[in-house]
Amino acid sequence: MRPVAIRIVVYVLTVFAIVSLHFVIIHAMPGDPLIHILGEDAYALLGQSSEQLEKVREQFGLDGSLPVRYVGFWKNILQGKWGHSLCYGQPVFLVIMKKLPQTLLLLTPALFISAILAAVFGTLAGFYNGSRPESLTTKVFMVLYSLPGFCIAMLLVSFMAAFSGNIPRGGLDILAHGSLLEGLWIAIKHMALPVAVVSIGATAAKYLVMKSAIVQILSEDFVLTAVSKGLSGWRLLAGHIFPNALPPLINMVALHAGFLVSGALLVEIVFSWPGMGSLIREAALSRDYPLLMGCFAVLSSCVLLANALADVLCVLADPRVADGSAAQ
Amino acid sequence: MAAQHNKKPWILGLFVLLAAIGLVLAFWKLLRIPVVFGVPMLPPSPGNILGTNGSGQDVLLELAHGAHTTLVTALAAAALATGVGSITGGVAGYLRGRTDLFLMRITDIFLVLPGLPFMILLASLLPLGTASIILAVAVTSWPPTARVVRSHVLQLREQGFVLAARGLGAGHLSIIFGHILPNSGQIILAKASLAVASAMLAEAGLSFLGLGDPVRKSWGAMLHDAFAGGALTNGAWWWYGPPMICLSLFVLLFMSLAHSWIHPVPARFSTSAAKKSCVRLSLNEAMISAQKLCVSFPNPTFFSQAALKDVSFDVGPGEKVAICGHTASGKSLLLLSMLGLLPPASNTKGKMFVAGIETGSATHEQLRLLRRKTLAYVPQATSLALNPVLRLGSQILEKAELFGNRPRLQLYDDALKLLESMGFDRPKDLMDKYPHHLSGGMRQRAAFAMALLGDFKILLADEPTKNLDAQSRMACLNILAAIEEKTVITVTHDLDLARRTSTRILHMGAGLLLEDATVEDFFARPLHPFSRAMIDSMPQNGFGSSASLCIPQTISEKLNGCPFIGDCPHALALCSKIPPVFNSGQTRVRCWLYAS
Repeated sequence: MRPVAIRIVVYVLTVFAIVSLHFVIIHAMPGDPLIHILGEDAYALLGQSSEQLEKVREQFGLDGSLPVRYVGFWKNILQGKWGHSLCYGQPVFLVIMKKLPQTLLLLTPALFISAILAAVFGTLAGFYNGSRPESLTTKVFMVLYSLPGFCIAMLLVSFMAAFSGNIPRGGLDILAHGSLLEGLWIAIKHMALPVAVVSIGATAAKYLVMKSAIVQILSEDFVLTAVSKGLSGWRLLAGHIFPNALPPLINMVALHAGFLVSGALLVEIVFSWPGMGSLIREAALSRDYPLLMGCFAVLSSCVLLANALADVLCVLADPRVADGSAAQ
Repeated sequence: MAAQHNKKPWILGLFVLLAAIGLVLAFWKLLRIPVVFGVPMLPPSPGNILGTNGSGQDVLLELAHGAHTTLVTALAAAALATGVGSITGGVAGYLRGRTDLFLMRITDIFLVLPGLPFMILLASLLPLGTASIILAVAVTSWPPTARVVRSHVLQLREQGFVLAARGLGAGHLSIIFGHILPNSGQIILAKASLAVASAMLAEAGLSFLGLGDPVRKSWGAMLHDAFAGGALTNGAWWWYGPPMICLSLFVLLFMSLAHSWIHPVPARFSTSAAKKSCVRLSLNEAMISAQKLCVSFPNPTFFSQAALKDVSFDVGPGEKVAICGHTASGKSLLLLSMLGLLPPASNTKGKMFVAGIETGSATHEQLRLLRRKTLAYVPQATSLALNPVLRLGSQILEKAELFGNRPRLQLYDDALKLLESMGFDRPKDLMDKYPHHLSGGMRQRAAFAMALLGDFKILLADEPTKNLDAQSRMACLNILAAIEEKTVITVTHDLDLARRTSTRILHMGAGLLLEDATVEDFFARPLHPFSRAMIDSMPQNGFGSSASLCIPQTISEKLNGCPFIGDCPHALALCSKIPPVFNSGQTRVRCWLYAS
C-alpha cells in the first residue's frame, strides 16, 4: 500500500504547487496584483477611491507581507474565489464551473470507450502479432495516430457541410428539450461525433502500447506454463494473459488521460462544443491569466485524480502492488 | 515468420522516408519564391497548383514555409526534450536511490499533466515567437525519454564493461557520458524520433489554437487559418487538405523510424492459424520417439547454444528416463519439442513423436488435446513460471478442473493431500496465496503439484528439484519415484535424483545425445568420456580423485567436429568429424572410441 500512498501524496503536492504557481505569477507580473484578480475595468472603477481599493485589497488578502498574502490567497482559493476573469467579466470559478461539465461529458465516455477498444484491439494484436490482420490493424492505427483528432474532426465537419449541409453544433442542455428521455436522445445525437473523434485518437495512442505489453507478456515463462496445460486460445487470453495486462492497461489509460484532455480541447473547438477548449483558448489569446491558471489547475487536477484512481485500481488488479513488492 | 515481420516496418519506413525527402527538397526550392497576394480562395489551377488561401496566398508556397517552421520547431523541441530526458533518465538510473526516486517523481508529474493546457500556459507566459513554442513543446515532451532511458540504464549499469570501468576508478560523470549514454544510443534515437512525431502534433495543436508564432506560419497555423476562414463550410479542401496530409505523413515517418529501431521481443510460441499438415502416426509403440531431431536458431543471440543436433531415441510406455547434461546442452529444448512448444524462430528438421503425434506438424487442436490428456509439464520454477496475478489454488486446480472428470470438491481434497505430501504445512493457506509470496523452493513444489494433479500418461519435468532444500527434495524425489505405470521424463542436473528415480539415462551435451544407457550401466560403466567426467565429478565419488577429463570449459563451435575435441584426452584424428551413434552392448554412445 505504501508506494501508492506516496504517489497520491505527490499528486496532492502537485496540485498544491500548480495553484501556488498562480500566486507567483500574479506577484511576478508587472502592476498591482489586484488588477489580475479584479480585472482591469473593475480595478479602474474601484481605483477612483483609494479607500475602497484598500478595502478590496484587504478582502482578497493582498495587504500584508508576502507570507500573510500567501495564506490569504489559499483561503480565497478554498472558498472558490479564484480571481476575476478579464474576458468574461465574471469570477473565474463560476466561468469554469459552467464549462467543465460539458468537457467532462465529452471526456468520460471517450476515456472508457478508448480504454475498451484499445484493450480489445491491443490484446488481439499482441496475441496474433505478426499475422496479416495484425499488421493491417497496426498500420491503420498508426495512420489514425498520426492524424490528430482535430484534423479528423475538421474532415468530418467539411463532409457534413458538403453532403448534408447540416453542420453539427455542440452546446446542449439536456433538460431544455422537454422530457428527460428526449433530452438524452438529443444529447447523444450531439455527442456522438465529438466523442467518436476523441475516442479514435485516444484508442490509436493506447493501441500500440497495449500491443507491446501483450507481446512482452507472451514472452514470459508463465504463459508457456499455461500453454503446456493445453488451454484453448480464449482461456489462455482471458484467464492468463489479459489479467497480467490489466495493471499496465490501467496505468496507461491514466497516463493517457492528459493526452485525451489535450485532444478533446482541440476537438471541442472544431465542433464548437462549449467546454473548456474554447475557454482556455480565449483565456490564452486575451492573456487572461486568472482564467488560464484556473483552467490549467482544474484540468490538471482532473487528470491527477484519474491517476490516483488508477493507482488504487492497480492495487486490486495486481497483488504484487498491494504487497508493496515491485511489479514488472 | 519472425524474420519477415522484422523487415516490414523497414519497408514502410523507407517508403515514407523517400516521400518525405522528396517533399523536403521540393519545399526547399519553393522557399525562395516570394509570397504574393492574389485572388483569395482559388481552387487548384495550373497557376496555383494547390489553389490560394483566404488572403489570396498560394497554398503550395504557404505549405513550403509551413514545412520549414514545423520541422524546425519539432526537431529543435525534440532535440531539447531528448537531451533533457536522456540526462535525467541517465542520472536517475545510474545513481539510483534517492536521486532516482526524486527525479522520477518529477518525471511522473510532467508525464501525467495534460500537455496542451500546460503548453498553452507556458506559451502565454513566455514572449511571443518560435523559441517560446520550442521551449513549451520541449518542456512537455521530455518525460517519456527520461523513463525509457532510466530503465535501460538500470539494466546497463550492472553489465560487465560498466562494472569494469567503475573498478578502474572512473568517476560517475565519465561513466555516464563515456559508457552508459553511448550504449543507449539506439534507444535514445528511437525515443528522439518519437519525440519529433509528438512535438509535431503538439506544435500543430498549439498553432491550431492560434497560439503559434504569428510571423512564421506552421502547418498547424495553416489549419487554424483555414478553420477560422471558413474553409470547411465553403468546401475549400485545397486549403486544409495539404497541411493535414503533410503533417500526418511526417508524423508517420518519424513513428515508423522509431519503431524500426526498437527490437521486437522474440515470440515464445506460435499463435498463428492452424497448420496444414496433419498427424503422422508412428508405427512403433514408443510413447516418445525422436527421429533425427535437429533444432537450430537463425538468430545467433537467442538460445544459440541450446540447439539440438541429430537426436534420436525411443521411450516406451512406463519408462522412467532422466535427461542429464551441462547447462545449455539442449535438455530443456528437448522437453519443449515434446510439448510442441519450440520457439517459432527455430528451424526444425527431423521428427518428434509423442503418443503417435508428430508435434512439429500437428495442428493446434491436436497439440492441445495432447497437452490436456497425455502430457503433464513441470516448468522450471523461475520467478515468473507461475502467473503472478492469479492465486496458486486456481493455477494448481485449473488443468484438472477443466479437462479432468473428478468432481471439484474431491479435486480440492486431492490437491491438499498432494501439497501436504510435498512438505507444505498448511496447504489450504497456500491455495489462497500468490506466487510472489513463495520462495523459489516453494514455487518449484507448487509447479510440481500443478502438473501431478491433472490426468497424464507422460510426465515431463524440467529440473523438479532445483532450488529445493534437502528435506523437500527428498519429498519430491519420493513422489517422483512412486509414479507407476506412467512415462516420466526428468531433465535434471541432480545425478542422485536420476539414479534413484529413473531406469534410463540420456546424457546430452552440446545439443548431441552423447550416451543412452540403463541407469545401472550408466553409473557403473559410463562409456562416453564426458559421461565419465560427469560421474567422477559427483561429490560422493570424492573430490579431485578424478584422473579422467574435466567438464569441458569450452565447447568447440566447429560444425563438423566432436564438440569436446578440445578437452578430450582420448581425442583421435577421427574426432574432427562428429561421431555417429555406436551400439556397445545395450548402450548407445556417440564417440569414436566405440567404433566397431
